[in-house]
Amino acid sequence: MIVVLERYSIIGLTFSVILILLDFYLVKKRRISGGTYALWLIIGLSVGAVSIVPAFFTLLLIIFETQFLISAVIGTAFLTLLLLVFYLHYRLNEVSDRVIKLVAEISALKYNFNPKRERENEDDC
Amino acid sequence: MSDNVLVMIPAYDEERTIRKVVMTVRDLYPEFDVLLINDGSTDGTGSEAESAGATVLTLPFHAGGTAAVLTGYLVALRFNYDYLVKVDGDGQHKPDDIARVLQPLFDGLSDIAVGSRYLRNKPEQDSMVRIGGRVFSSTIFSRLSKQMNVTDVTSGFRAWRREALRRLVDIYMSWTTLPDDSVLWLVETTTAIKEGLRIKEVPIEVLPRTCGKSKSFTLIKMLKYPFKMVYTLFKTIG
Repeated sequence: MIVVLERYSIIGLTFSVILILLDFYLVKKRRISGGTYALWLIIGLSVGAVSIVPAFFTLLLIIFETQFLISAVIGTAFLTLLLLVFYLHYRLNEVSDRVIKLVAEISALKYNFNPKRERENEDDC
Repeated sequence: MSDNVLVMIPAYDEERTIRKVVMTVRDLYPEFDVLLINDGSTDGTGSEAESAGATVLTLPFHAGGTAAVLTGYLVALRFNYDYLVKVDGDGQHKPDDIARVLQPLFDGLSDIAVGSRYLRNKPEQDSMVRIGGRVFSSTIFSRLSKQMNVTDVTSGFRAWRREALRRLVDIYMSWTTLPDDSVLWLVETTTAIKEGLRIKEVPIEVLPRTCGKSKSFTLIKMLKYPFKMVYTLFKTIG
């Protein structure tokens, strides 16, 4: 049986595969957190699933009350935007982890009160 | 019993339970130092703990459980504590169990001791959620890793020897990303085993939460959890 896919389905599926592969690659290289990985895996799978269900696009047509189905150009633009959000999320993730490490290090360094030492001093008195 | 022990209690908005936790720990183990790591609480957690006798280290903002725990590790290393114990600030961990968790470390039997909820409880006494949690996070995960013989990989009631802490801190600092709060113990357990650190489990009892809500298991976090498990597999085993 030959399944003929619409253009938007092909674009959606391609995007979905790219996103999932990127997600796996980054997690394998330990570049993204578990939360980011989980979120984008879900998004990638959802885009893939939605792309192969034509009824979804008909639903969008009803919701937006447009005369035509979403064009491949609009679909591509949307998916590119999503990819950009993924990239920004990844960078944000990287920066926030650096901040957390710094917070831990600075807090530990700023912490100067050692109860044990203080207690020992009290005993000496 | 060694007195060079630091008890760390990471806490975020636990003002209703923290006083009791700190006072019980201090009453039971007056020779130990108690450090509350106040993870940017918006309530009176810090002042309650301080008035109960703990020393309080306040993070500049709510940085999450991983940051709070990492801070505790760094403090323990900086002040040359031989042992570090972590208990929750919500009162679910029984301070009486601290001695039990520390014992394998004092005896030199392990580098990390983990309090297991499942060694003590019989399966039929558990709720469905707990049984599911155990099957999912411990059994499946353990079999996948093929090296672990740990029944409660997600338990946060733990104790470390100084050398183990040093190794773990070096590893965490070398990673680009830190583990998420919800999989921190899972990541740490697998990493520790991979690094050849000895882990010993001891049975503990976990009490039901009396005040407030769990910060670990919101609906969104539970949905993400299976994916994070796969991530953990990639990160620590793969």
